[in-house]
Amino acid sequence: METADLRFQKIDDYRWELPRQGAMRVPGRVYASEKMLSKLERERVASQVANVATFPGIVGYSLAMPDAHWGYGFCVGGVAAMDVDAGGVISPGGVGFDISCGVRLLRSGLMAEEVAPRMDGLMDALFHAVPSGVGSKGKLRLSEDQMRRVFKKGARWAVENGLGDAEDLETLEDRGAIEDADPDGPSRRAVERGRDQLGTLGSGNHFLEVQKIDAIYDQPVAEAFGLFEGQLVVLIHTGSRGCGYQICSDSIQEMLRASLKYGIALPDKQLCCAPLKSPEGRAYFGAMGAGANFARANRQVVTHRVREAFMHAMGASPRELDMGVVYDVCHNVAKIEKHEFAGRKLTLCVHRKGATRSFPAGHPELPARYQKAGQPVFLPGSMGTASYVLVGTERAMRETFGTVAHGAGRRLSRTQASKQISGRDLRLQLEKQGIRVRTDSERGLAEEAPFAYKDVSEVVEICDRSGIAKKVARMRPMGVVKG
Amino acid sequence: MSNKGRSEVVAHTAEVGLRIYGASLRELFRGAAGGLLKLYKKRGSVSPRRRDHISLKAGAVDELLVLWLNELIFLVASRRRLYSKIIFRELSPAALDAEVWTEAISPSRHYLSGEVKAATYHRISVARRGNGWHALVFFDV
Repeated sequence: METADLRFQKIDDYRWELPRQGAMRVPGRVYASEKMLSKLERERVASQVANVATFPGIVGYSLAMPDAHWGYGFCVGGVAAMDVDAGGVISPGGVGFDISCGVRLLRSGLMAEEVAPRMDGLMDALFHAVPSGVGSKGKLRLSEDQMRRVFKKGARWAVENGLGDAEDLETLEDRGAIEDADPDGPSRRAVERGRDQLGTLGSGNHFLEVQKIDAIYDQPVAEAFGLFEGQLVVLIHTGSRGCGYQICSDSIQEMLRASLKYGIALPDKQLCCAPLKSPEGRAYFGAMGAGANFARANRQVVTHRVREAFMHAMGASPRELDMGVVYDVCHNVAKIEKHEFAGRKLTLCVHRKGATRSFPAGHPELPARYQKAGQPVFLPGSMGTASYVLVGTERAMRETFGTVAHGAGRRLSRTQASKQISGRDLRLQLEKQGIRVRTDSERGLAEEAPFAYKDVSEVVEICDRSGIAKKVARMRPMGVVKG
Repeated sequence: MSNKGRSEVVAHTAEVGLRIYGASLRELFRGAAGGLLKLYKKRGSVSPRRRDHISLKAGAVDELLVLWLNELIFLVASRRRLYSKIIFRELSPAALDAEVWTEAISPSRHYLSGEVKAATYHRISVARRGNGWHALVFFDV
């Protein structure tokens, strides 16, 4: 959509509306402070929010979270919910290539201070145990049959095969697997591209960080999550690797044809889509679920490798390490959820593209352990900056279909970032701050420099003050393995 | 890679783009293949050791370009092969048939520091302009 007439109108200090115009079926809404709005590429985000607002069946608003920035199709930080029973569509462009990319937080029974003297050995062990970088391969090479079982069972497959504990599954989104996944949905190419990538980080903004909790904002909720000040925790950010990329590529070709077949006008071809109830819509939903399950299995295998590395480097038993899963939640996905909107109970296909589910206490999707507290939400910063734990809220359910931001949000392109600092200099800077860095790509490190991102603390404050999530704890990095 | 056709990297906040130029459609598609290797930040020369074959059909030329790039991405990412020489047996806005000469990626001789997930349709354009062809493609990286 042309950007000339797209202007955000202030609702309050943290909410801005993009009035409905042209082909938009609903207005747009952005969560941002005035200061943040000036940083979020207003015209490009407005244009992408407006394009998403044209989807058949969209309900309420086309939303952008406080970390929004220019994406492809959707903006990153974009959220849209389509009414499944009113011709609502599903779009691979609202999920992205890295299907179910997400974040998992591991707690530990260790104090950061006691581990600090052994950080070099620990980071070497983690770097060795969890392959990272372009095309990284894991220790597993799965047959097609095994891959199809991963597509069906997700993290449960990993646990059944000795890569984790049954207890881990209790605190994973969907208990580690999307039930509606179609294991036969992904192509043979998707199988081939992913078969040796379980247990790997990949490259780009994926990482594994050893962190120290240095602030608690909500003691009772932190306790419910098993978190306390001074504790060592591990944050893992990765997704469905080549397998997911291939599923998305394959699906987009089908969806381009489907958009023509159903007469859906596309403001951007990457927003190709089909009604969820159509054969094409159901096929993509099933294949996407399979990719999501691969991502969940991937983070489970990474978790197992992290625990092995800790045992090796610390000479400690699993009981002493106590590295349980706080939660695992993805930020690139489309899910069928029940929501109440404008007094009506609806079945919606909620697309979250670079946005995190943020369900409140008492939601039936949450594990028993978090029924009183609410769902943990993780907002990673970038190397050298803080990361945060938040908790989902009722307000998010009412306003954003239970969704919040997913991180700091990029500010500079990779080229701009790497022009401003070399990987070597950045590594030295981080090491001066006491942050150990392990990577096989110094160029990749520079592209992910902290200044390439917006201030994560500002994003967190907007989430907290607007009420779409509440702050629980802050972590500082001690060591990072960078993809 | 042959130097026929050329490309330049276009900045994008989270991703990356390529602006591609060619005097003919063949040059444009060859230039796109060369541009893709820039995004992989490939180091090390590639010898034409094996002939691979790519055959594609599409409803429009922009779709053909995306399919072409995603075939090459699959070749690099999954088959772990880099390409050097490309011979188009057939190339029209709706179909492509190409010999792609490749070499297995060797950890001792080749180094890729960029990952490319896929070519996207976001703001894609492929058009004749003056005496040549221009294209703009964004990639998820």
